[in-house]
Amino acid sequence: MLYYEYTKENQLRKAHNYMYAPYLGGDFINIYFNDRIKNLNRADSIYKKQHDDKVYSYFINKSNKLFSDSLHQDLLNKHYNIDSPEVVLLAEKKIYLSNLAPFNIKNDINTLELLSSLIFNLINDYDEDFVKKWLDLLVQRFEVTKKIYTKYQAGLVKGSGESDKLQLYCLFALSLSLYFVKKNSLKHLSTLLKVSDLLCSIENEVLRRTFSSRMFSLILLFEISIIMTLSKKLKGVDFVFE
Amino acid sequence: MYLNNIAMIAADTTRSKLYLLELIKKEMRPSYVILLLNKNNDLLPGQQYIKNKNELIELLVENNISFDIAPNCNINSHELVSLISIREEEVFIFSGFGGELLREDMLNSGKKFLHIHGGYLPDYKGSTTNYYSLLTENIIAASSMFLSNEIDSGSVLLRRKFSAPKDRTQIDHIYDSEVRSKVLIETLSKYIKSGIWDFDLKNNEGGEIYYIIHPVLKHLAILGE
Repeated sequence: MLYYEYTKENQLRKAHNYMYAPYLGGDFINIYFNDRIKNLNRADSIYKKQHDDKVYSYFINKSNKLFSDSLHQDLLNKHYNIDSPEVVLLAEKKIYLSNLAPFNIKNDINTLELLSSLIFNLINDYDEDFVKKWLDLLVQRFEVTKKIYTKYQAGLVKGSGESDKLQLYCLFALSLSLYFVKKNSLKHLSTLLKVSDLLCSIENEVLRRTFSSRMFSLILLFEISIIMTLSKKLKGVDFVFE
Repeated sequence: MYLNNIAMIAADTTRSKLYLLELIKKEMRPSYVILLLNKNNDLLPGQQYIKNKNELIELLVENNISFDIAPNCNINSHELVSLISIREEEVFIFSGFGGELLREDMLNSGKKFLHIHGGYLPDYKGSTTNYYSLLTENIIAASSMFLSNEIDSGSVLLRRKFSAPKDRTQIDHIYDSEVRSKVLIETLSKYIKSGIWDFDLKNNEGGEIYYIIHPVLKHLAILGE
């Protein structure tokens, strides 16, 4: 029986290299949808009472607006609780998020700061060239090592610190989603699918204590909706959302 | 007929076999081949089946092509760099196992490595780019170049676009190799005719670097007709 092998084992412990993936027909897309819906349900069940911090709420609310044309409405209604999102005004909360100019490839990079700044700039349409440059450096690092480290040494060649901070993978996935919304870039969608696989491969007890459920749900909803649009009318893909 | 001054590095893959068959068919036998064999039981990237007898060796023997079997299958090993450095041929057609990159020692061995990239340069650099171009433009492509330090950034000798194949399930082991071998033959024909390596695109900068396509997108590329 076919199953979606890319979320079966914790990818932080054993990363998949995705090389020469066998062709399994239209059924493969159906099992992908099933697996992602299962993970959406999982996110619903384990994170109900979690509150996001102000920056995350800001990212989620703004991203949700940018994704709104792409999101599958039935899925959104069923899986994503955004009835009364808290509107966060960064200026009022005195939260400062920088543009990307202060980041310099010659210096060590704090990944949380870089990802936060990337998302802030993507949301606000700032610094397009800088966004692509820094996002592509992270994409390159992730594709080669299948990890995101808390820090990168100057040149962004070598990661240092921890590589199991799910919060960073989640922010990375959000930045890839935002980039796809703006540029329709399949390269970044491909990496997004891999980062989502990694997040979906993590056990409940680890997920529960580490990151934003609403952000995770939003990313999965966005990704599923995009793949659904791309797979419309394809032979053998007959998944129906219930 | 043998190619003068042009040898080949051939990993035991479906692509190497197709390259050699086409080179033999077009009377462009490489003057020497160094074979990289997989001595493990697991398949390496680019291999489709485990075989009891080696078809590449049979092919080389049948066609009187001089060859050696590499001491190991690591393209960047010290032994292989030494073996290639002492050869008199200046150019090596490169057909390694999937995803292999030549490191500095090999690139600095004094030889040129003629590589056929499966994608249209400079737009599509990196890995599995023909699946990406199927999704965006409904085409596949191949480009020939001499390898350099940066991925797929050497000056382009020749590049060609091709219509999407009818059976997209066979891209990995048949159609990708087929379009690459067509570009290889055309590149060598041009060289034989003119006696010089003429470049189609000297400045191969820019473009996008792609990474191994996610299986979901790969399936969409195959299923989309």
